[in-house]
Amino acid sequence: MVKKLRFITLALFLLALTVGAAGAQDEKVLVIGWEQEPPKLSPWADNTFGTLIYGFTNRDLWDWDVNRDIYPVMAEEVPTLENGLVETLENGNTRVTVKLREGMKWSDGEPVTTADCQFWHEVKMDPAKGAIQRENYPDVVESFEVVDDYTMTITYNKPWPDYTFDSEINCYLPEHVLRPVLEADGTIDNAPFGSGEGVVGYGPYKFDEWVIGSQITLSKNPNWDGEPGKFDKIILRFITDSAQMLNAMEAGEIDVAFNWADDLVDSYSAIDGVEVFKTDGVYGDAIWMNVGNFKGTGEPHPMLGDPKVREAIIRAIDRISLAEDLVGEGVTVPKSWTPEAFWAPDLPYWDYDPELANQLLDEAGWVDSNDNGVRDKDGQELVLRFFTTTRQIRMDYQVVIQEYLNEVGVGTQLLPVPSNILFASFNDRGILDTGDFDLALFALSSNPLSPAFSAPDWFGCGNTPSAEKPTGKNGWGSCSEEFDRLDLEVSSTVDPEKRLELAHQAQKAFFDMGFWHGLYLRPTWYAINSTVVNVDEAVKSPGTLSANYFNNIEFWQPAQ
Amino acid sequence: MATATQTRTGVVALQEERRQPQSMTRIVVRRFFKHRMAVIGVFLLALVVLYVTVGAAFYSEAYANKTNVRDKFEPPGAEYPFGTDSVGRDVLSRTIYGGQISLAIGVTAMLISISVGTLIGLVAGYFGGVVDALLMRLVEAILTIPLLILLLLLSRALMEISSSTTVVLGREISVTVVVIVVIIGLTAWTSLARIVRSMVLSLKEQEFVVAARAMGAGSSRIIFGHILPNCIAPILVAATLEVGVAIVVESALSFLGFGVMPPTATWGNILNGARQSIDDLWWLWVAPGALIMMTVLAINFIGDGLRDAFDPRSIR
Amino acid sequence: MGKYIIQRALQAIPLVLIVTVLVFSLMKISGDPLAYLAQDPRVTERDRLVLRAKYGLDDPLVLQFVHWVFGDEGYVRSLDTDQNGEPDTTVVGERRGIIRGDFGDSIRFRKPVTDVIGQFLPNTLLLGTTALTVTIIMALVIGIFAALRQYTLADNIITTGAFITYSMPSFLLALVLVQIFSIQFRRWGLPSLPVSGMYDPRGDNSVDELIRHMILPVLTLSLINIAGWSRYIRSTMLEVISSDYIRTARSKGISERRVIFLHGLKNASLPLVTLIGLNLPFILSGAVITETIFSWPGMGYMYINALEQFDAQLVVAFVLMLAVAVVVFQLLTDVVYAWLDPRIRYD
Repeated sequence: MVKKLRFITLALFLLALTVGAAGAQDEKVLVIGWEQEPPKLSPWADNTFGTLIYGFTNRDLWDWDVNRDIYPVMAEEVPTLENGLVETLENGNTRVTVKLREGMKWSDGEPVTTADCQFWHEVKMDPAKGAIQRENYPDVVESFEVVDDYTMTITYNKPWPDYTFDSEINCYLPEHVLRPVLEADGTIDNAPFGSGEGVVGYGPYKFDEWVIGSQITLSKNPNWDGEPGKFDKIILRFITDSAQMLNAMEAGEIDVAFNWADDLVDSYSAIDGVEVFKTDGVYGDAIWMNVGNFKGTGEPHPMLGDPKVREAIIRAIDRISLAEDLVGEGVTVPKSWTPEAFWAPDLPYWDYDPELANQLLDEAGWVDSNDNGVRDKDGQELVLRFFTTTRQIRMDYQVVIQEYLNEVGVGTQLLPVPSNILFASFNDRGILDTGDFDLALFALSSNPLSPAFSAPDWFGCGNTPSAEKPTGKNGWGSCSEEFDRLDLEVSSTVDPEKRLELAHQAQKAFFDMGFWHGLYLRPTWYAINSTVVNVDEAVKSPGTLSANYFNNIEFWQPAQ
Repeated sequence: MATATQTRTGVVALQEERRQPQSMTRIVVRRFFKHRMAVIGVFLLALVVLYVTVGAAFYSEAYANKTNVRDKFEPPGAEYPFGTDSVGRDVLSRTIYGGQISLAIGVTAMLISISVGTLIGLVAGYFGGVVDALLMRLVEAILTIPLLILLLLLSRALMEISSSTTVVLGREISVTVVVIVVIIGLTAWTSLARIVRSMVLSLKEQEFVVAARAMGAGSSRIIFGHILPNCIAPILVAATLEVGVAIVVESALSFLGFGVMPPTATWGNILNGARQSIDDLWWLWVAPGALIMMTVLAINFIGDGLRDAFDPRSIR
Repeated sequence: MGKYIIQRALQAIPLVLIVTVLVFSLMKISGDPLAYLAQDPRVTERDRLVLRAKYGLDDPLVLQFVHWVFGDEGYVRSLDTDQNGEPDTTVVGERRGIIRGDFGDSIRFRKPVTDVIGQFLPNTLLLGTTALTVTIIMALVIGIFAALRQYTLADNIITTGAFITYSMPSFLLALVLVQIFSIQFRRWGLPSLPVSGMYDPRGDNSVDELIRHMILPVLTLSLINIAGWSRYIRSTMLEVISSDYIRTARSKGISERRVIFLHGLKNASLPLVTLIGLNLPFILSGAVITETIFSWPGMGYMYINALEQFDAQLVVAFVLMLAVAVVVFQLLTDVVYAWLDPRIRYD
């Protein structure tokens, strides 16, 4: 019985502790729920939630506002043809001069100079020095010269219209911190920087501490010369489970939750003092059809190879109602791969028309001859293997699309799989890479700033993965020489008007390939506790251009 | 450890049974039905079985799979007694068809694990020596990894080959169902194998076995004709409990996203749909959650009743 | 005794080897650890190839295993990154193999697997041992109580309660607890418990903060296990109480409480020690479901993330570590058992 008494005492003691929990704080602290702990901290990180942290601790040479208008940040001005900082050389190639603002300091007080930008260039050019995301930088950059501490030039080996965001100059890496690491290790891959030690940046907040599995703490950067942050501390709290994120918001443990699923709008809105809003998305889910890589052979697909069948399938699905019902009001159904701002005014789009779908399938020779509800031709049933990842919204879409297709006599097998099985490489028998699918629902992101498709690996002819070319990425086997030619031109045309004209043509050529059909652009949802943050226009217009949700964090104000 | 006592008492009980088989069976049945909780268990289980079978007569499978996105996340009401899910499917009818799959997973996984466990226990115990040593090392190897950790790993590893569907009894289901059944069946047999083995070790020295061997009976005849019938008690108890374990394990795997893949419904993955908001979407977890609990509770009651019924010392 | 220990240790070697090969092959057939790079347009094929070579992902399977066990120092891989038929890049192996304590780098964390495990292990140990202690104490109290009042109303209520928590999937229990103690309590204006993590985000990482965060996960883990354990203690106690020497002790006029606590408990403790010994290593594996739900940064949480993000090196090292721990603890349990019970002799 003594033991029991002791236990009761202990229980009461624990309960007492819970009462005295809320302590008074003088500091202004903002806690943001973070759904994924980044594996490693680095500007070349391969994880969205890793790069997002840079919205707090680092700034670029320039940035874009919500209207896609560019403004300088670290640079004195944005280089353009007009101000003479962008030149077209005699051979037609592009050279860009950038002037850094003077007086900028890293968070440890050291000055920011062109030496830092050159260090970035050096790492980008040499795979041995680290940095897995070198993009096409080494392929398109001819040279980089430091003129003085604040002036530098970059020369491309071709006409390069996208110099502001594609293979652009960058000054993310503090040379004085990383040079010694590079000299000691030969690579910066294993720098303590990556695991949160001695992190130095140029941004409104600086990196303080990373408690693995728990949170990252940031504090106001005293050496930042821009608009000062209004919070003393910002805490990024890792909560992987979406139900727990909601609970944590309700329990007041976090002040901001973002990037959650549309289904939760009502739940978040119902919490006292929480304001909910959304910004337009950049990630678009789409239906991808295996048109020219049937079972990985590189041969046309016996069903989807026929443009009539492709059109019938898309005509059978009411994409607009689907987006409204499953994603939310006012969600964009993308008509093309590139951002809406660059769409041709007369871009083709297949409206919902089940009548036409039936007619097209009849014309293509697919009829239900054995009366089992599924069309067939030459003894083959029109049943498609339909893959997606295990994300809830995608599985929901899949189920409803199956019903739409049933209506016109097209059968489907629904197969949700983990994303690393869907996207695995050819050698690892990836479903997309080996062409082992008929339909698939997923998103690959386009560049939100560029009218160019700039993904020849994914769409161009001759890029279908095979034993001889396992690195190809075009598992759906799309191919149009006209598209390839136009897209190449778009990516190397400097004159904006001419470029847009070409882009419009490229979009039509892309549509004619018929393997990609947009479903919705996923909006980004935010829930913010208005008793902690003053939810004003600054907060509601974050830079979502490339999912950099916190690029205006310095303007976030504590609530009165 | 409970298994050690079980083994001992089981042997005692069955030696008696050998002598007077008729009356022993009757005693066991009578004792079982005098066990209050066991009777409640049988009743509960019968309810669940009726729910998934008779229920299917009221709602067609097509209805259970019919989406109605405009009615998504409807709370329980007249039209949808248990509410609707994220694409507006009726939760009531989905728990009926999902329950069929869940129960089928429980029963088939049990059949596999009981067959494997019994067979390995019999072989190891009867033949002894190198065979026994090897089989017992295998048991230990499986036991060195916690069950859930092992199942998660197996399910993950087999997901690639299970990305397809198959038709079973006229229903199209995800191959993950088969994979889940097989991996649960092939990992959950170890304790039964140990129990059976230890029973065989003591049984094979018993007079009737020695006599049968002296009369020239073959190994398989002795194992299946003389030893196996005497191991029925622990096998029956283990089999009952195993169904419950398999149902819980399936729901746990589905909850973590490593179980049966949609659109094939099970209680586990219907429940998973409520994960993002257990507060606002309570109807998505209350019904399947209650069904899982009811089933497992019933099975545990029955298992306990069986154990007591076979145990001569627990006569009240 | 010494001979027995050596014999058991030798038996354990093939066991660990089997587990190693098994887990390694399972991990290898389950997909591409670098698939997440495929969706990223910023990663070129060349970078992917270099990274694959660094982890030896394109080597033959057997070679990968050999490298993993014995290391690949100085092993040169030539790559044709520009696909022109001429190798242009070389990647030289640097791993030392698990035999020399190098379990490789976690692909997602980009640091040694042992470092990653080292970061999560203490949290799991804290949660696991606390939960085990609470479980044992509660199970003893309940088990003895139920044994002393066999077939009374109290016993029936306790038994039914035990069956109900025992039949409840742990995630359901955890979700219900969160709903009651964190969400509803807060709505009712009562002191509520935190739902996730180990410390308050704005807190001072103090001990009482830690305790408050531990209550719900410990409660979840204990409630699930108390049922089984108390049933077991109840039946052991029943067996002991009905045994001859307790009857003798009672007849000698020793007080009832003394008999139970001194003799009954002492005799029931032997199998209990075994049970604890066999359960301890499984604490290391972490409570996958509980840790996931409460975002408790322990081994189970790490394991699920590693499986989801496909961190093969981390998964393999973790499972191997578990297997070794289980084998070691089994051996230790045998030794303690022999030490506690002089009747047992090992040759």
